[in-house]
Amino acid sequence: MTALLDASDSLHGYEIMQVTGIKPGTLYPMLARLADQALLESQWQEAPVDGHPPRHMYRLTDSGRALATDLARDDRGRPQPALRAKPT
Amino acid sequence: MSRRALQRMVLWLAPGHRRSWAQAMVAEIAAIEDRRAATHFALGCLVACARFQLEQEIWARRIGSGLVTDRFSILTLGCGLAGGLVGLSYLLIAGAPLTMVTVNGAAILIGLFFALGLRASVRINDQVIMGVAFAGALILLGTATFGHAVEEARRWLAIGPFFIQTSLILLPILVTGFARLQNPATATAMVLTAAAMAIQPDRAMAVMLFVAVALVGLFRPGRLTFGTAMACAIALAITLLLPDRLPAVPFVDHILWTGFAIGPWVGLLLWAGCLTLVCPILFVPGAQRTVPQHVLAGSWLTLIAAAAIGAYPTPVVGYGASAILGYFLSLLFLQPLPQGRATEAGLQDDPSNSDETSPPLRSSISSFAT
Repeated sequence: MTALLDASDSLHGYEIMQVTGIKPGTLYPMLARLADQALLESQWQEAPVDGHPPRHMYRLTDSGRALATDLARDDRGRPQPALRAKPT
Repeated sequence: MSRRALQRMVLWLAPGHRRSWAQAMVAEIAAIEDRRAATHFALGCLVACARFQLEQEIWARRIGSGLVTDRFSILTLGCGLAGGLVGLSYLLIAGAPLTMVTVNGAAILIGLFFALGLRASVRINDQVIMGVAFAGALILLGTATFGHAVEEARRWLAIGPFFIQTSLILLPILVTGFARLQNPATATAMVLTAAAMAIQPDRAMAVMLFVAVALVGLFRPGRLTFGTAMACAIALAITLLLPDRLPAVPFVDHILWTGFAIGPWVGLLLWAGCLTLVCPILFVPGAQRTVPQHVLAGSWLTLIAAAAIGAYPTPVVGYGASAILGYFLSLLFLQPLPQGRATEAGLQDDPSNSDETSPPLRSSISSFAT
């Protein structure tokens, strides 16, 4: 969500994968759930180059942006968990 | 594996409700210029589609869980199946024509299929109940006017080589619908149904209708239910005045007595099979029984009594394809309504204009519960 929040424009699936490092097997179910909750909107966009197929572009809705902002703020205020030693 | 083949697999694997996401993935795969990266991306998309499938499975189980937790419906399904199988056994033992056995067996499967399918797909609301009530009443009136007649009794619709007794299929679902929702629309549909029973004429179904509506009136007293019960009583009186010359049909009528001629255990099995149909309510604690449950039990008990007394079809047991369908279809209106509806029903002032969502006593108690 932070990747989409930081982006100035809509992103396509492959782009989100490159930015976040999340593989498509996890990424698309996440995006679908965000869209189910009306936190994400999508639209088809014609390719700027002729002959290239249109792509599905994603961006956060207003409520999605509000949630992502809250989450990002909470994340910044929270101390990073220290690694625990594995119990033996 | 080629990019195109992977795209096809993505489309094939994605469930219907995520079809647009699969199309988005396919477009994305096509847009990636590097072939190796596109292949990796496509393989990831296949994993995503598999997860969508899993999501659908979990969702389907959640829908099904409503049926699993509804013990009365499960028992009704089980009892209908048991009764139907007793009927099939009787037909085989008694040497009935193979067509009868096949049609009875097919009716059990079709009934189960429709009962489960409708339960999973149809969300019951007032419009559905009123729609079914009017459609059913019109079909019954149509049968009484244009249906197939035998000895002045016009009760059947010829569908291909089969003669369907529409009242046996529709009356159980109509009375459980009325038990669930009593308003001027459903009451009018019941009066039309009563008129159809009087025109046909059919004493057994008319008495079943009267008993069912009288039971609703007993649990939901009011002018509407009393008036409807009176109309059903008049229809029953008309059927008693009109002659009923239909002869008993082998393997269908009087079998609750003629079964004993084959062997005492055959007769006992037939009675047990019949009475199984009214058993589900016995497994529901008294305070939790709903009006539709009472009506279902009362209706089928009345039909069994009618079959024992006169030349009327033995319900489900015997050659009872129409009755089997009717028994299973009535499950549609036996499903509990969503939790939120109970509050709405509790707000209604007129008890006769009510929507049966919970047991009569519990619904009023729940208004005060915290």
